[in-house]
Amino acid sequence: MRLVTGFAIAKFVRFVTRLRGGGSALPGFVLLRFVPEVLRKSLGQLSQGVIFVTGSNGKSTTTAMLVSIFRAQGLRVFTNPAGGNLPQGLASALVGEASLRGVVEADIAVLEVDEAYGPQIARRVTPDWVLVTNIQLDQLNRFGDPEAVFQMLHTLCQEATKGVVVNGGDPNTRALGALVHQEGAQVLHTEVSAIAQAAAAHGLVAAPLFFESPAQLPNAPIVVVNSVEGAQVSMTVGDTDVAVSLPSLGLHYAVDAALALTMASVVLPDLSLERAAMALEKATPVYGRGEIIRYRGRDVSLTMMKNLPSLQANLDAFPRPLNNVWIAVDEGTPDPSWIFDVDTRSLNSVSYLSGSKAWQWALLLEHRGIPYHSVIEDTKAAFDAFVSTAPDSDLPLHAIVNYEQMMRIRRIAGYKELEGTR
Amino acid sequence: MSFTIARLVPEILGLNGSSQNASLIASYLKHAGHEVTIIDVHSLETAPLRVDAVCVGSGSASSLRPAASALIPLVRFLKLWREHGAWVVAMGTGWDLLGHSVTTPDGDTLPGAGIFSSRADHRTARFSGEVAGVDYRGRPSVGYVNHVGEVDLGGGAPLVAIDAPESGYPRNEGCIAEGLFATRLGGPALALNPHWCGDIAEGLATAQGVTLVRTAFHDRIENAAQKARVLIESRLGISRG
Repeated sequence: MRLVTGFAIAKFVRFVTRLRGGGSALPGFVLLRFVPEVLRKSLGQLSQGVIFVTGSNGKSTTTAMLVSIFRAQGLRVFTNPAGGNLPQGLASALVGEASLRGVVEADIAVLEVDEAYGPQIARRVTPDWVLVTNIQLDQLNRFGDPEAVFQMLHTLCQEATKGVVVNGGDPNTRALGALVHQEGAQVLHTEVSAIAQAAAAHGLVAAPLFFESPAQLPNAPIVVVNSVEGAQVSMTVGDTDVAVSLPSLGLHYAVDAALALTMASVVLPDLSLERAAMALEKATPVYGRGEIIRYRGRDVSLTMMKNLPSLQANLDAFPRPLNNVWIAVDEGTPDPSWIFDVDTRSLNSVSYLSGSKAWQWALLLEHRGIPYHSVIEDTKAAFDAFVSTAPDSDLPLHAIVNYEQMMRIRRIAGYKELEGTR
Repeated sequence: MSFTIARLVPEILGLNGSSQNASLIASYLKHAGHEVTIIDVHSLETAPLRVDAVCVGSGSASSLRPAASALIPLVRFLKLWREHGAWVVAMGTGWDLLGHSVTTPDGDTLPGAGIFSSRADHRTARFSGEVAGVDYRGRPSVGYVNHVGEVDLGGGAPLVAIDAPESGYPRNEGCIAEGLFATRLGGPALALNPHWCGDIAEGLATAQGVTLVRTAFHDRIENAAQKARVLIESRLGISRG
């Protein structure tokens, strides 16, 4: 009865919040207040289990790719929206998908999970598998040190009942995998060849952790990324070579695809690689990760400046230096100090800087000698100026934005649907 | 005129933009018409005999011992450079290790290089947040602190008197002395506070017997930093009229 009441009220709250035109974690918050054990009740019985996807970067993209692969194999997949990776976000996804009795019509759950909240979420629903994308410099204002992230992910990996999948191309997740293997867990991994690593000017940009011993992973990798040329990726899965053309450019997307393939091939031993490759090619880019929106007759590509590794990876992936870029960043990035570590050689010129941290970007550009037109702190005014003064071209304009500015910009452009519905 | 800046072990002590302060000093001098060479010093073999300034950045928790091990062999050079009048510009963990000693979170005491008289203790809580105050010359100064523990200045003069003590951050921040500059303001603290960049650049120029020429670039970075600073002060509820 409590379950039905909880879902009924949460679904009503969801209806109201959607009427007001936005996504919200509120329905999930309400549901968890009524039924704290709801994630276990609804997801704990799925026939193919529960997968957590976590790490500093690539969580959303890897989750989207894995969901796409599973669906192409005929599985019914429950997942959460990109960025809705806290307990209330997961519960909000349930409010939308489950019946009043909490039944989810799915075979498997693929959940993007925040690295800090991972252990807490694992207490609400036990993961069969934990997939860790990388440990990179991210949100130091929140985590303090990357060592803290390593500890959180270590705790989370210990909760996996079947095993852990790690990115062998990242020395930190490699060390994490070696550690949990020592502790008795099944650990599977991907590898990234030296040739593929060289495809990105700065490689995979791992966080500077100083481990005392070299990390040895057990067994051969499940998937190897052999080479990356723009969006063209060559991988080996077991004994089979797979070539895919990903929807987004760069080594980091190739690694995300390899991790998704690794996880899928472990869960589904009879995985059709042909269908999996097609699913990867058709996977929709996650918001702000190469997504193109349209505003006042112009296409605008949104690249998220989440942290140093993700921005560097995106800048490295651009085929030629960028001109007339718009950079928008606000308090959602409390400490943008890391921008001074970015190799900005792929930025030829910047049109406008906006948001409350725009002047800190202006200081970087001044010191680097990168010309910019002006700072317009107001996002809407800057957006209008950006598209109205851009040179005529069929090519998309480029905006580099933090998460909060990305959501604001999408709303200004009339994109009102819930974030990251997969 | 040409200047040489040594950047110590940036592969270990270069977290979150902190090793870029050397580049900011270089940029300030270059725009005044001087040549600047930055030399990354990883070991004795890469240490030059003479430098005009030494910069050292900050690091993560696990960097403390490897950084201490890397810096110990360089202490002889640090003292030699100081004898020849080099400035030392130290940030966060780098400052801690160039001080008298560092107490680690597990209670061990690591000896420092002794360039600064400060003693760092990493056993107390981390502070993470924006701070603002007035520096030793009465100039508004700002930054973002993300650092664990506390520092006893050991008689040194503070760089900044921090406003808004309710934030929980100590009143005294950083350390300033003849040719010595240290702060826990994270990342590229000299970008947000170009007046400090100017102080250091002036000091280097004076030591070489030249006058620093101010250009439009210096005005632009002062203007951008002032705009950034006012927004930070506003977020902290500080008004300077």
